[in-house]
Amino acid sequence: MNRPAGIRLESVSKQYETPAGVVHAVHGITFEMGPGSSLAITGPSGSGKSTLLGLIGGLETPTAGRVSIGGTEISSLPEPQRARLRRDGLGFVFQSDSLLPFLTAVENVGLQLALHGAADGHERCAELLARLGLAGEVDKLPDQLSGGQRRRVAVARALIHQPAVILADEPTGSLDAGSSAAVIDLLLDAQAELAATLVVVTHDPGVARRLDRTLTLRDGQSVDGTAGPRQPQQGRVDA
Amino acid sequence: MRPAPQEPQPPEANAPLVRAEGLSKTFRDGLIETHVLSSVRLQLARGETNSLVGASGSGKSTLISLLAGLMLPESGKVFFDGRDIAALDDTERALMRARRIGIVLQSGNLIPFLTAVENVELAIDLAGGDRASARARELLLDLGLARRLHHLPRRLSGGEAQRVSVAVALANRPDLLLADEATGELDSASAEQVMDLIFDAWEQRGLTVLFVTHSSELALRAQRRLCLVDGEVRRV
Repeated sequence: MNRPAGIRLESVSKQYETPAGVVHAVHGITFEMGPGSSLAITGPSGSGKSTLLGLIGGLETPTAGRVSIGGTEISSLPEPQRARLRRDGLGFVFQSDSLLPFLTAVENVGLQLALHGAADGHERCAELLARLGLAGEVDKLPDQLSGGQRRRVAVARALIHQPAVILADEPTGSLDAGSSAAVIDLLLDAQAELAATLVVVTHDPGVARRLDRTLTLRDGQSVDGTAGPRQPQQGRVDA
Repeated sequence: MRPAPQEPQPPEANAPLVRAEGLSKTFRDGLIETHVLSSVRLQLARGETNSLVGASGSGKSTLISLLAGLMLPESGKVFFDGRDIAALDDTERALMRARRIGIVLQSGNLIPFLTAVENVELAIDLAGGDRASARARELLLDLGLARRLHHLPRRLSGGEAQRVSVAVALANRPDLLLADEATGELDSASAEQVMDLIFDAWEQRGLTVLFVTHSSELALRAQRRLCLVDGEVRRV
């Protein structure tokens, strides 16, 4: 799925059973994004932002409701098909870089292409890293890179297969202001170039302002929600 | 200028797979210097299992990183199958790791957005192997993970995730398996299970194993038991 793809969530909820009782991590979220648009998900720690991103990306399955990407309802797909959709159509950036420590920068980026059996993988990855200002770092291990450089490698890994949807969970967390701005620039440039749909979880209002719209969560619900936990509601998406 | 890579020499049958001589490593933080390893000598014989114990901060992980070529020593040399790994360039060292060394760390061995079977497929692909998909399935089935093939790491227990990590490390059919506290975050039953997998692989494939552990019980399972004390490796 490398064509432009929109995102649609309908009354999506996720709850977990814990020894202390049921936790409603996300409750009754509904919104729609057009192909090529961008959305910031904000809210305090523990408000369900990362869980919601995981639901959008098929890393989590909803307890109720539906998640569709590019018209495909991923929440009801069997895991192998969902895995294929993630692999082909989605690019993920996590707060912890999740780079494999025993692989070089170019190998880490090449992970996605290796799954597709791309023969020109090394060259393409090195070119992308060079475009992201890491030409001299392609053969370095994550430990030999700065935090900002590692995050750029993680961004390159999310973009190398030209995904239709880019999902980033606190991509600027723990970076200084300059590195943060650079990472957001990269994501927005890639979004424009690929006509990709971009969703970014962030604590930073400055980052959120750079995206088309903002969805604010508190206790797993959109902030203007008035319904109780059993009544799904429309999530607020501020223009 | 980087020295030219050495031509690979045919290894002698009795030559150790790994030979480290005079390894020293110092970490500097401003004016503070910490001498982690000093003139370490170590040999890992082919097909032998080795355990390494030592206090926290004694340099065990540093030694593993040096042996895997993830880090280069300030002085001394590491020879892998007769080749000085410092004489290889970054790409050659990466290729050597991908094809001949399996590494299992305490955590962070798996890509979080790929399923168990995809993580193993990747390792096979990176090593230049064929039939990645079929072999990844076979490997996970062998390791008792038939019901976890399509699970993401976040849906695996700690023990299951480390068993998948062992599968990833074995995917390239390595000559050397390095495990750095691979069972450090597991309960004793899960830790035993992970170590069983490593020892099963050793029995079946005759690979060379070095594992770091805090558990004296697990350390006893190795043929050769080593301890890192005051920057030196000693036989226990």
